Amino acid sequence: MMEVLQSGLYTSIQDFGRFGYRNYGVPISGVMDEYHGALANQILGNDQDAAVLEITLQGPSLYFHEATQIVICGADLSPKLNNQPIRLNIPIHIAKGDQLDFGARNYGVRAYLAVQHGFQTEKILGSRSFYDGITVKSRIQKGDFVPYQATAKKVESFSNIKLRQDLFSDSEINVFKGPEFDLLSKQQRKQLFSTSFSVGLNNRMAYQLNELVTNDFPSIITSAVLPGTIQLTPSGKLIILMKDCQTTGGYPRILQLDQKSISILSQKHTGDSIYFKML
Amino acid sequence: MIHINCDVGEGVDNEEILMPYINACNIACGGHAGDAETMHTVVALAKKYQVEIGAHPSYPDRVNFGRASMEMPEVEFIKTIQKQISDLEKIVVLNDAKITHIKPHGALYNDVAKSEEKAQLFLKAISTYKDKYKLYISYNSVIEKAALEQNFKVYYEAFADRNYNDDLTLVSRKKSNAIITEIGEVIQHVSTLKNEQKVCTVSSQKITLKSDTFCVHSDTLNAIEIVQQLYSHFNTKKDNSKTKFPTYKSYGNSGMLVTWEAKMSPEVLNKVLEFKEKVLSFNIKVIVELIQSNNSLLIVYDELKVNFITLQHLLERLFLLKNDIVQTKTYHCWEIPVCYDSKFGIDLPEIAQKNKLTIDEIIQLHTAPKYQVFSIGFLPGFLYLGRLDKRLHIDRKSTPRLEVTKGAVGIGGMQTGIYPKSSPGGWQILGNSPINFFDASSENPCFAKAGDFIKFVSISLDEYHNISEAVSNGNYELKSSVE
Repeated sequence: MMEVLQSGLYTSIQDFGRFGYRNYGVPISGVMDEYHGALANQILGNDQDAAVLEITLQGPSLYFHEATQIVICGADLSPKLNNQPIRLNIPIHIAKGDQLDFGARNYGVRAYLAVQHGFQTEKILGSRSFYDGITVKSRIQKGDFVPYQATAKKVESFSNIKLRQDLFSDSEINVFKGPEFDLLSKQQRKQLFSTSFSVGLNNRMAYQLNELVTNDFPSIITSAVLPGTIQLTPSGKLIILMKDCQTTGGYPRILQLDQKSISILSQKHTGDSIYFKML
Repeated sequence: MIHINCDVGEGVDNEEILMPYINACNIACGGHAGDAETMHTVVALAKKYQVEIGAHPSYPDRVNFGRASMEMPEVEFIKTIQKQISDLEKIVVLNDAKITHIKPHGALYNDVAKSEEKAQLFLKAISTYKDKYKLYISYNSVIEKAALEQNFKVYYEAFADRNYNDDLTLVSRKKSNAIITEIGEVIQHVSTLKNEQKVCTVSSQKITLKSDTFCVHSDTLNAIEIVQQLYSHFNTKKDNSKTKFPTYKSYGNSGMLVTWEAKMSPEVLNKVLEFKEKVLSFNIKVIVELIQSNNSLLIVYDELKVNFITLQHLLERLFLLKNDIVQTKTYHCWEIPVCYDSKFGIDLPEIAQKNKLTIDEIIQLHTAPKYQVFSIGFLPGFLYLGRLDKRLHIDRKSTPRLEVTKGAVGIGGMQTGIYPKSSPGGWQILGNSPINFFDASSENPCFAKAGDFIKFVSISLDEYHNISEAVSNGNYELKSSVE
């Protein structure tokens, strides 16, 4: 068991998502940054979609009751094991009684903590991803015990995992046309692809952008939406849907992010700037 | 229109994508390839796509894929050919389908075209099927004359993707120009055959060659592309005015959005649901998930196994198939108990005042209709319901509530609905239902599905508490009737 001494800002268990229940209105959920979520599992030799801990901006304090191997990928939130700084992207041996803390944020927004064989919280509707109303909790809390399989077997360390700094520094977001792209005028298209947008309110459901794109589009009949869909609201707000987004929506879906760009965007913080590039 | 046939069940595993484009298939029945399992799979697929089924017997030579000539005792030869055909027949019967034709495979096909002896022997082997099945052979071949003399039902086959010599034999596969792979050339080749009953040979001569059906080799590198192009060039109607809907649009890297008229009406919903059932009944392996909403269907597919345009063709073909192949789905009308007591109906006074109705009239109007479930979305288990009485239309609250309780029944604009869990919300609340609309511990987490109906039934506060208790004890049974 891993005991939660402090929960951090927003810490949740996520795997690669809950598929097959969208017709009941159940969101996909899953790791926001698939690249680093998968990387963490890969380094430990886990299945790519094993459940990891998604840590947001401010890390938790965690106490390990059994030995295992861990790895931390994604954002650099200054992780420390028993008060000693540890590196990202390499397997680290955990002995019974070890404590993991986090400190200042150096870059990125979301860090991924993987343990050997993945966290073993309850699978509901085919997934361990936390989502309010599906799983009992939507985030971990102080005093929680998170199950994992104890193992003392060491993982061979990969010395060649290169830090992909570009995945944090790039501000280019790749997009395809969305189903309602054709509604956009020449002027609006020009604005979309020449503006540097800044990230506004954001969470696991959506990233809003601060700059407005004025429009007089009608609402559409409620229809399916996907993580990565950019909706344009009547007030001109651009909303980029993320992993916990609803399954349907009524705003025009003008653009769609590719997979890699969803990962890049999920490492962006309020105020960061991005610009769109059509694929 | 042209008639296209393909050799299938030979282990290439592209039948699912081929079937929508072709008119007939020749199924390997154990001689050069295929076994009971592959025959079963391919026969079932062919039946679904209404593709004619043919037996494709061969020399019993799996090592050389039936592509080498074999000398064997007459009795043995007849025995193996008959066994191959009867093996397929058994499986076809099990699938409640029919065999329409026989086509010899590979070296056997070439041998009977050239050798009188082999031709006679093959005809002897299949003589019992003479009246039942058509026989696919080449025009002006040796077997043609013998088959016609013996009153076989001859069906002339030409090759869409093979070059011909002046003597109407195929250019040997050993030569580099044996196979035509360039799409434009294939279409030119087939057009000449179709329009002039002539083939342009490798020496550029035009020689008469009759053809009733065109063969595409499914193991040719770009076979799928060839059948697609032939299909769209020769076999699709150019006049699309009648089928403006649905439209097919790419959505994300693995999504196809199929959209009907922009209307929230039972007629449009019906079309969406009908198509959804059709797609589901075909159990297409490359389709990962279907997400249905009021006038559209999002089809999530495996982009590693199929590309957008192929899937679109497949779905267009599916759309044109008659609906009677799909079992009609049963739809229910669910009775939803709602307590409109002032304890729950916190916005009833506001609605009464704004819409100039008494509270009893509101309840009466709200419980009168059967509301159709158009889709489920917004929250897990939230039902989008159609057609709320106009007299109940009311704007959302100017300031949304931070928490609306689970089970709250509300009106937002022109819609009514039930909050399946506590959440922030701006709808006007007129009551509460004690039942669960979403159960994450069940594989079928919501009792209702799109196409079903909902009828609200007014209950007292006492009944509310009784039902609520029964629900939490797990022994409340929701009332429903079949629509």
